[in-house]
Amino acid sequence: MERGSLAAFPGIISRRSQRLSYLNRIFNMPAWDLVPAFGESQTQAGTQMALQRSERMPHYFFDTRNDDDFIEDDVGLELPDLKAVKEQAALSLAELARDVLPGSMKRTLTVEVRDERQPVMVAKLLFEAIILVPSGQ
Amino acid sequence: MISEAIVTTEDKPSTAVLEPMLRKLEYRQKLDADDRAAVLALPHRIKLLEQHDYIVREGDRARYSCALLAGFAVRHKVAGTGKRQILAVHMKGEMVDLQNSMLGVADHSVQMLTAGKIAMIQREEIERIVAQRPAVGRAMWLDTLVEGSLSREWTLNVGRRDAKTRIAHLLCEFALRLKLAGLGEQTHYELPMTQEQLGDATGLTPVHVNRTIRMLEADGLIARTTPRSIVIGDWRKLADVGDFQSTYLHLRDGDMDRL
Repeated sequence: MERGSLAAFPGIISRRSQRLSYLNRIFNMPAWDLVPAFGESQTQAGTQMALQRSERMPHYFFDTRNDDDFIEDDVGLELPDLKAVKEQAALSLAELARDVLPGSMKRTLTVEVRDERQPVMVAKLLFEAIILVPSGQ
Repeated sequence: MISEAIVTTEDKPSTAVLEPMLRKLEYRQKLDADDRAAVLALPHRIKLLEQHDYIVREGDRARYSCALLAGFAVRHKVAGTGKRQILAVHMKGEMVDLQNSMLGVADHSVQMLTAGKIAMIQREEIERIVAQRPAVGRAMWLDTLVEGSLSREWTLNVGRRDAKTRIAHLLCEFALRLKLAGLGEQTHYELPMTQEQLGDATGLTPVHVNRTIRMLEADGLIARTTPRSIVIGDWRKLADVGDFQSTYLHLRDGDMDRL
């Protein structure tokens, strides 16, 4: 899917989210117990077990930039608030950093978070290794 | 112990019902006609479970061993922070509760990933058949040992591999296990897990799981035709990326050759 194509069809996403939150209200079940299927919307950040939700939570997508390499989130997560969004962005940046920094000298990692309508947050990690002695030493 | 409230029973044991379990036990151990008859005649209760029902919860006193006859289940433990680690995924034919029932108190939970069907066999019946039919006992022993082998591989996976390798490895393992259980093809199968559950199995955030799957797709290693459907484009390459060697699955020689 091209970048931005999800945003072009907000109705589709929000209907799906409404369906999910409807299920949430009915069953009031532990977090991942509500997730419908692989590749579809996720319902909750992290893996907390017994978070109970009575209201609809916004759906957020976490797109990633690894220098200029862009990866779009086609699944997203339902999260209660921006604090939880920041936590997910930070944790996932740390995981990405662990994978790519050992092979880098300089790198900018960015997570761009959007909800169903608009961008809501940018989280950025800058890395630079500076060698202070002549090579071969 | 299984809460009676969540359980639907079909209280009519019939001999063919335990066939998937028998097939699994026979995979690594030759059983004679009497052994096979004894397994099929094990007294049991059939229970139909909904998605997310627990077969056993950590801390329960488990009196039954359960054979999974349909559906998928996971073993998991939850950390003090509430974060969950999925320790194993189980599929049709597998005995999901030898540990908890034989050891008395459950040290982890077993929960259905999908709706399914289990056969509950009393612990005493397991002990009896093991004493009377040594080959059956050996088959169960081997099964438990192989489960330990999978567990060791999963420890290596979450401890020492990067995200791409972890996910690729898991996808390779599922491909072979689903194929052997007759539930999919090596290069095309339905994955019964959400990305969040994959995260719980690999120790990654759902965001990083999604990112990693998108990368595997971009590299042409996998494709998803429907949300749950995994197509492996190039098995060899995916196995390389996933640091996957099937040795730890302890497959029969014939099955190894076909891979």
